[in-house]
Amino acid sequence: MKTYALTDDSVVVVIGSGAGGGTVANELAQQGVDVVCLEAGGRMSFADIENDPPAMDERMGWLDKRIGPGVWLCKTVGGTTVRWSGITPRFLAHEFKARTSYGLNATSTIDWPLTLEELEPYYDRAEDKMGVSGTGDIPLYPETNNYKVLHAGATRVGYKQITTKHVAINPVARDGRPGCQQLGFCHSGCKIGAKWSTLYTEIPKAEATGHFEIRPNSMVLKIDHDKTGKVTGVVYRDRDGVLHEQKARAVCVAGNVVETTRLLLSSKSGLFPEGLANGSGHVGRNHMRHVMGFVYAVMPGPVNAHRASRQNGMVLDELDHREERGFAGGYIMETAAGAPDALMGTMSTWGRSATAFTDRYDHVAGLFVTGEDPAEASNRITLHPTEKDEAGLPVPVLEYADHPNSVAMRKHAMSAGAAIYESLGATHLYMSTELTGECHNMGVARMSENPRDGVTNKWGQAHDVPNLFISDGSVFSSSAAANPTLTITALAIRQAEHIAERMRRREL
Amino acid sequence: MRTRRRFIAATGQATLGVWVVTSNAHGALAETLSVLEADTRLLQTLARVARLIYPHDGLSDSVYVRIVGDLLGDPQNTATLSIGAANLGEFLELDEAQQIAALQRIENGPFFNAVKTPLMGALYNSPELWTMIDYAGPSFPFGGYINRGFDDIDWLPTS
Repeated sequence: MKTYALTDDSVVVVIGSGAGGGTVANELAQQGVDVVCLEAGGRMSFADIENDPPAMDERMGWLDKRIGPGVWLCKTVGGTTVRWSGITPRFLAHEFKARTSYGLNATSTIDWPLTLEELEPYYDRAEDKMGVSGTGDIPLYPETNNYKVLHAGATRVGYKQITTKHVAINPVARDGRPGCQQLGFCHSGCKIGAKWSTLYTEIPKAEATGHFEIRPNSMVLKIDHDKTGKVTGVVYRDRDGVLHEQKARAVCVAGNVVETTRLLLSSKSGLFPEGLANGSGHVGRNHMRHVMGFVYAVMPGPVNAHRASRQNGMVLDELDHREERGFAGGYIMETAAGAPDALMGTMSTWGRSATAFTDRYDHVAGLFVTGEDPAEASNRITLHPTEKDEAGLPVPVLEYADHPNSVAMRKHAMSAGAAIYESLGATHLYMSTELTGECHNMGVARMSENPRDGVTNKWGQAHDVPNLFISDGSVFSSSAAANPTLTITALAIRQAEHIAERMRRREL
Repeated sequence: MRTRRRFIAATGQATLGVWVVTSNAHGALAETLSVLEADTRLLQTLARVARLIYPHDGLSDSVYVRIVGDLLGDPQNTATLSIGAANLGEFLELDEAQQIAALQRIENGPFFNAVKTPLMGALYNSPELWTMIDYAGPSFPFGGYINRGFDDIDWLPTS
């Protein structure tokens, strides 16, 4: 396997190996660019992945101390693509123009500096890479019991756009990975690799190029720069606690929102007193989590929703923007199911209103809502001024409050979801009433046309630092409604093409 | 494969055993009995609280007792659980509606969540609950549900 010297300043250093980091690293390596990928977590094999949610949460969850609402991240090679559900709708044209489409003038909502049209070729490539159902020559995902309930109920209430398209879990064997066996433990890592994860796609493919080295258990602490403001390398701690500096020609940061923020803010200097790339003051701000919620229903007959992949179909009729609903943006309803502890873990209630669902566990159908979350500067991640974690790093502090738009959307979505199951005679219904522990993560280093409004340009290149790129969901200018991974991957493919081209032109 | 379940089962029983031994080691029979009585009452109160948080008529008291015993065995929880239970007063003498009302008054406090959060993890990963709801646990060993009914629903209306 290829290795690089710490002093080799011709390499691009990629920090993180999930959807953003794993993809940008592989796409660079495929073009012959030498890459060193530093990943804080360890590297699992399929033998390490078990159908055991509590054990896997310990093994791959990011468990370092944080203050504030929970975030659903992983510290492992593959990042959160090991844990994700695999749902991959594209963002819509109007969602890239959030400010123009929605107004929301009291928020910090902006338009993206790029359009759907510009991203479409990269969506095509991302769907092909990830094996998304219903795209190219890939069949639709098989219809599971939970999906069939969703489909029947949604049809009864008049919805039309109900589909098992947009699932990045192989319906049939493809690209060296098997077809889905309906294990039902997607969130604990796919034991057979049917669900796309950079752990067993992008990372080994990059290694096969001879232009890539991954160093697991390598936690990056700081990005260094020279007196002209260009980054020159990164300082990281290896598994034995030893510090190293890896030199770099350019750096791509893809640590997911909390670690991307912590790293940029921790890399402050005389030249960048508020943190690296933070001349606008926007680093850590505009954290968007999506409006989320769950509807669970006890149905008149058995569903056994857990005997299948967790998420495998969706209703898209509420995705468009319709002012008459009383909120901006739209939402998607997607099947949801899980082990008994996962079901109860997503319910905030207790007593018989909760156990009515586990007592009839085999009769439970469920859906999950993800919807547009307006950007707000006050929803932010900062570093605690004094408190340090076990490794001596400043503890991240998350502050997040629902916007009234989100409260209105969640209420609408919960009623809409409940109506689907009521139409089929559900005997008990549960609806989320507040922020859930689950979230998608976007926006803390957002793209902006005007450098005053964000952290990067439309390539994810920092406005303030020419050879520093942000390669994860942190760059989203708005959240849109759909699950973010496909868009992160498409942006990473596009960014890698841009970086390689700039390097060929000797501009980087 | 089921390490955590064996762990839960083993530590629950061990906790109760250790208490009896340490109490006897203190010597005086009366003291031993009063310690045991207080411990028993604390355990009964917590088990009752646990059953009211996640009431399953199909589960025996021993499941709830084992889980709260396990919680009490962790020194980090002892103060929160003992004080919280003491603040409930003559909880065991109340009727069920009164007990639920008492818990509703404290449902956002530290004691309630010190019971509820770990109870959720332990109860819904317990072998007794899995058996009761016919949940098979890990599916990889038998090849998942691709040939075991992932799409076998037969009662849905056709229109």
